[in-house]
Amino acid sequence: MASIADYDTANKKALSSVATNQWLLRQAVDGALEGTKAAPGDFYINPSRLSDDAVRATFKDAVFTGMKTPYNAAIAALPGDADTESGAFLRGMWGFGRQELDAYVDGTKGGFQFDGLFKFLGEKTGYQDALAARFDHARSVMDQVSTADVVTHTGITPVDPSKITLDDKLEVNRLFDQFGVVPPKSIEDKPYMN
Amino acid sequence: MADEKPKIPAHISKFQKLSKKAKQMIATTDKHHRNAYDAAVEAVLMDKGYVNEDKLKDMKVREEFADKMADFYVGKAKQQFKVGKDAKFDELETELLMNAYAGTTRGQLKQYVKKVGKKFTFDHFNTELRPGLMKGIEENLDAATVGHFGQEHVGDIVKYTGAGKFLDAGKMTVQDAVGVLGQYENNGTVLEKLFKEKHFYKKQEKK
Repeated sequence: MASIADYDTANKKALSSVATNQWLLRQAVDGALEGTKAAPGDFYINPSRLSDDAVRATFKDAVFTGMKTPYNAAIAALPGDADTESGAFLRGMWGFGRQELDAYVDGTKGGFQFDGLFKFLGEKTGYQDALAARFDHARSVMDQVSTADVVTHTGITPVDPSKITLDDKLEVNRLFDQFGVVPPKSIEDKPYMN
Repeated sequence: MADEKPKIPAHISKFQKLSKKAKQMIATTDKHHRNAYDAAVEAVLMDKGYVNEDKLKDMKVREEFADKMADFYVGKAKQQFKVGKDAKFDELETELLMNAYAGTTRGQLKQYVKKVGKKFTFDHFNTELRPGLMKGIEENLDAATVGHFGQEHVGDIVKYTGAGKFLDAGKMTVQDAVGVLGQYENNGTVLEKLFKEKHFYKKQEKK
């Protein structure tokens, strides 16, 4: 059996993993944007230069290198050919690969926008799924927390606790963390409250 | 002999040059906002290689986080405004310098981060705070790119954009013309249907 505290620890680790992943990606993209300066010492970046094929190729390489660098050691430790395995590995870590990155950058060219890239990744690739996957472990910990513990912790008063599912446990716990109490209206229609 | 390309009036080419620079300045400042946040993350929130936003529960950490962001902004402001290494600023002058570059001061930033606390994630910063900080900068730069236009340039602008077929330059203000020019520069054309309700739209005679 796991406790609410165990779940909280696992959930915090997941949140931290997501924040780190997003931070790394921002670093990769912003680092690559430095390469759009007309001259290395310039103060201003110039994303419109991405309309140039050579500048764009350098930019894409730099983003991808930035995505790969934090995992170089892990990739080197993979069984099999590192070049081959790294594609699958990175797709698992990021939820997208070089193909999707190239598609966006080549599609927008000089109109490249940082927020646009993240919107694209969120909507058209597996990026969000890769972030969500970081909560799988926390979810399995919550599965081991007894319903009675969740009920006691959150202060809800279910009519039929046996109808409380894993998703319900996660939801009431999230609401409790967010508001310090589970707002009755937010769960009044749930099967376990009726 | 091929037709010569019509010469772009000097005031319009000046606008194009300034617009291009303004776009670079906006993209750079936008990036520096992200960089400021990320530099503070690296300095204050890192925990064994991982970002730990939970640390923002601590009021002292919030203050430190805002300070790191402010330090970053001040550094970039000095670079952009080409401030010499020997230049000395007191606290208030530094606040104004930072405000001119980032659209906020150290004091304002501290208040904000202290108030938002643990919820001051990048998403929060990027969607709730940054747009407001950028708004003033974008407005100032937009105004600076068209500041040299006068009423006497309205006819030239309308002619240059090819909108004279359906827009009456004689009834337009400089602001109207600048709007048309902006649309032309962004889209490569001026969309007639967007102006049909305007008082300077030339009513087309029915055939």
